[in-house]
Amino acid sequence: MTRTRSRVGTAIASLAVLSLAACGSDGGGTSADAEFEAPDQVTVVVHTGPGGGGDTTARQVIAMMEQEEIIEPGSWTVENREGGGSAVAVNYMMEQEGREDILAVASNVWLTNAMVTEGVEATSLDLTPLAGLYQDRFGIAVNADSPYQTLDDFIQAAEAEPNTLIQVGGSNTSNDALVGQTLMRESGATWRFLSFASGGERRTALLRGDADIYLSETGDLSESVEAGDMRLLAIAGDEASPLFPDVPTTADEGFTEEVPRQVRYGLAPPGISQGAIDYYEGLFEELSESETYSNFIRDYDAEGLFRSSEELGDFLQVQEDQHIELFEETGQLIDGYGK
Amino acid sequence: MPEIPSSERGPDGVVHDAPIDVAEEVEPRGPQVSARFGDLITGLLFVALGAFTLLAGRDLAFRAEFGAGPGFLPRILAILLIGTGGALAAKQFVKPTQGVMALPSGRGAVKVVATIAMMVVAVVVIEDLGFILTAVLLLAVALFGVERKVTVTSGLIAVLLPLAFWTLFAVLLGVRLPAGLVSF
Amino acid sequence: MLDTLNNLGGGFAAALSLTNLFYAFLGVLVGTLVGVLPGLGPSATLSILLPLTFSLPPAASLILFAGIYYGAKYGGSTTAILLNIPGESASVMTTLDGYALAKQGRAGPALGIAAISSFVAGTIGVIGLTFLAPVMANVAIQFGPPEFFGLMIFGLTTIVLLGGSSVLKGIISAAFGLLLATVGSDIVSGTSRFTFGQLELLDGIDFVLVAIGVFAIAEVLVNVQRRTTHKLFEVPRKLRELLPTWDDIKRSRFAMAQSSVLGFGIGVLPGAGATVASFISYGVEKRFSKRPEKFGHGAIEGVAAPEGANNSETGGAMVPLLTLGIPGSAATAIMLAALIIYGLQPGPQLFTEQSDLVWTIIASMYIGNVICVLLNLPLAPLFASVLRIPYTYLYPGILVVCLIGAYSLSNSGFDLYLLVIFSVIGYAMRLLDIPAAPLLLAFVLGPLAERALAQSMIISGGSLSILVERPISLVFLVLAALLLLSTVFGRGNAFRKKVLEEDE
Repeated sequence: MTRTRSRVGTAIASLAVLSLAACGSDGGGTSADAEFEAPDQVTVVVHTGPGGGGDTTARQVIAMMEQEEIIEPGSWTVENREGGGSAVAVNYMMEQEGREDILAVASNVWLTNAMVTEGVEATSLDLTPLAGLYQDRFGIAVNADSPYQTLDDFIQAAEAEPNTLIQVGGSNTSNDALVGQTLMRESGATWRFLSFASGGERRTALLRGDADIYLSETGDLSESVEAGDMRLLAIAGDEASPLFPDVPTTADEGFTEEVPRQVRYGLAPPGISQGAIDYYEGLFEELSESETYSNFIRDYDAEGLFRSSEELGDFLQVQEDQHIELFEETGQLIDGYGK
Repeated sequence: MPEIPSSERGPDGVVHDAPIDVAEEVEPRGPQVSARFGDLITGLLFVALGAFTLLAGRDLAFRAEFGAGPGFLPRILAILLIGTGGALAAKQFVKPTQGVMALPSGRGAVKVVATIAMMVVAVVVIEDLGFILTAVLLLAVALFGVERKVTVTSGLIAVLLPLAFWTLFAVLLGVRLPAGLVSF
Repeated sequence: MLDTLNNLGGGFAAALSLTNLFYAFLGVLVGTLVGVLPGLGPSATLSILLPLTFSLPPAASLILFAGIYYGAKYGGSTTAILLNIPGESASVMTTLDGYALAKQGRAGPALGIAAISSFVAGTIGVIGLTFLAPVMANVAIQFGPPEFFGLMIFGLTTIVLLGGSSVLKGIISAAFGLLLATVGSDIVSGTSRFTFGQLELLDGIDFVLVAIGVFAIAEVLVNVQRRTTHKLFEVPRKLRELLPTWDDIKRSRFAMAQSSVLGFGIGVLPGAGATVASFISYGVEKRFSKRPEKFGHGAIEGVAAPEGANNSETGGAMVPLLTLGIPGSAATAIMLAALIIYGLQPGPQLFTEQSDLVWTIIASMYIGNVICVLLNLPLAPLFASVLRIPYTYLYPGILVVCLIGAYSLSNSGFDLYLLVIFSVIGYAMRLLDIPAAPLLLAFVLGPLAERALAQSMIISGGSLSILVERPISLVFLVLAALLLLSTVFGRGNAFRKKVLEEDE
């Protein structure tokens, strides 16, 4: 039952995307520009259950918007649509075509899921981009008594013993795995990847000595680093962390390739009016300029990079290409992806 | 010691036997087969399941880079099932299981099949008819049809219970149940 | 020590305000009512009620949380005992003797003992958390994938040996359960296994579907087949017979003691969970009992042990949760998320930096425990009286509630089809006398064991020797081997005795 719905949904979505592409991106609009009225109740769809990562992010965003009085308290509610990675949530959003009172707060998996899972057809590119909220900053951490003092130490050790050292992280399609993969590709060294479901387990694996390095959001690592249990070798990318200004970036260490980014963004169903897009984009932009938000970004050590609807659309396209390449390398890309 | 249930007068004045719930102690009525036959069937069923697993999982890689691939556990389990199933079946020829296996008979069998059929129909229609209608139908068929209890209580239950459940779950607790044709 | 008591006192002071007590009471009440519904265990209940807690200040909402959690646990035990429906894998062991007792007209005492044992063990568990958290945290850190695998193997061995008369059928049942658990995406590679193209199967089959189908609905079908013209079981009228007797409580002494300690200890091991705790405790109880043959047929201590264990496990599970941020189960994962949303960062700093809130949580766990037993002990006779309803009217209602429980998992009609399939499988298993408990328990443990093994192999680079090189995992594997051998030889001895007797 759901499968037929998703196929029909994709067909409708494709038509919608085509029409959106035809009239949406050049700013002007035609019949899609019907009078937009801001709804009283907005539903925010997430792909995890209550307490999961997506759910937590969405609730935090809503809480901040309520605090900054950008929205009325209780007017935005979270709806959990978990299952199949992000498949259930994405398909659900596709089915809501044209509805202007429902959004989603998404992350990388909304895009990458279809690349590595058979039978999943729609991705965030089939939905309407609203705004890019922020990017996570990734750090490379080691145990406090690890022999590696710099990233280079680790890379050299890895080169000496190919495929022996261990990086601990989340699922092998998640961003920390992909950042590690990029580093491996550029340096020529290889190491193993060990997956754990929860951050706590990953942390203890590193502390126990079952793993040699741990790539994760610096916001998550900060507490352990400050407690002295872990040390940061480098920050992934080319932007230093305000929280750890003395830690070099991978760019400083000589890595020039663009690292994959983990982004959080807002999406809407396909086929909504430009007025609706502008409205929500405006709300998110207002949030990104507020003090509550900058405090949050600072505490979490994220990169508060706001992207407009158009910029987000372009960025997702780039992200797709980048990930296709990465998954082709590991052999995880499912056959026939790339349309 | 098995508790011997006592008989008592029911509401209609007739003495009913108390329900049989400890089947091992009381002679089961109706058709039976030897437990030996039952275990033989069981053994063969699981051998078949094991074989099916080997077939369905033949494309799964046995080994992966470090140890077990996706096909590792299923293949081992399939072999285990074939082994233990085969052992159970073979055992029946050497040291057969004692006792009998009661089979559903007559009225009982019909009721079981009817109940399963009811559930299947309910599951098929629930997303189109919605929870309330489906539940009303299910209860009505069960009470009036299968149980043949054509009473006012049955009618009340068939209508009020779905409404009560909907109120409690869908309305108060926010559980998403299919709305279908009738909802509030 | 004095510091700890001081902090605890502070926690109580914060938790014992009138509003907070009200929330605790409300939580237990709502949790029980929702948890009573088949298929809705503590995790499902918490997911449903979680949004309610967000609108309150942190202390109040954490207390509400604790109340809901304990209430839902108790509610889950209630359906396990009354209707043979385990709401969560931790309740499966409770069904074995609990439902047997209900069939003998002793549902009330069973419920009562469940409440009392849960209270005693739960309190001891929280006491353990209070005083031993920092110490146990060090133990928890050393517990990695090889150790976890050892524990799972020990657990699996225990289950198989618990299956009734035929060990062979117990193994078949467990193997079947393990096989069902492979349906879905392989943990390491992400390859889909046995999904036959169905998208809904990518995440595997939900435990609740198997549990409701194989236990609850199969039970309904068996009863429908037999007789429904009368109420199902004798339900005593006198109040005294609806509550546990002193004899019951005396018999359960050892169970309450060992389940408190075992449950807490196992709870501390990250990821182990209440399921493992409940059946290891059950196994220990049966092993050291003077009447092991009674287990499965209405031994009251067979209810006290798993019930106690899965409550003291909560106290233990809070140790890795608060000190390391490792959730042991779906319910604790939700708790973890709630903590993060309130700005608590679980980790070694939590007890020092956020001690106020932490001690409030711990205090509220004590309170939740107390309120739970105060509320539910008197309610036990009431719940037991549900069985007075003529089965003719009762079972259609049970079927509808099962549909609700199954549908609410992922709002998927597909799950309902699976439910029907498992109901038929469960009924067939009843006819063929194949034990259902090994299937369910293997279904839960299997994937955990598989993942732990895969992780261990990545750490060791493909060598199995890591399992015996690390002391803790070696201990568990040796225990499993001992258990296996002692049972085999134990049977061998009994067989030999019988042969000798017959010869004389």
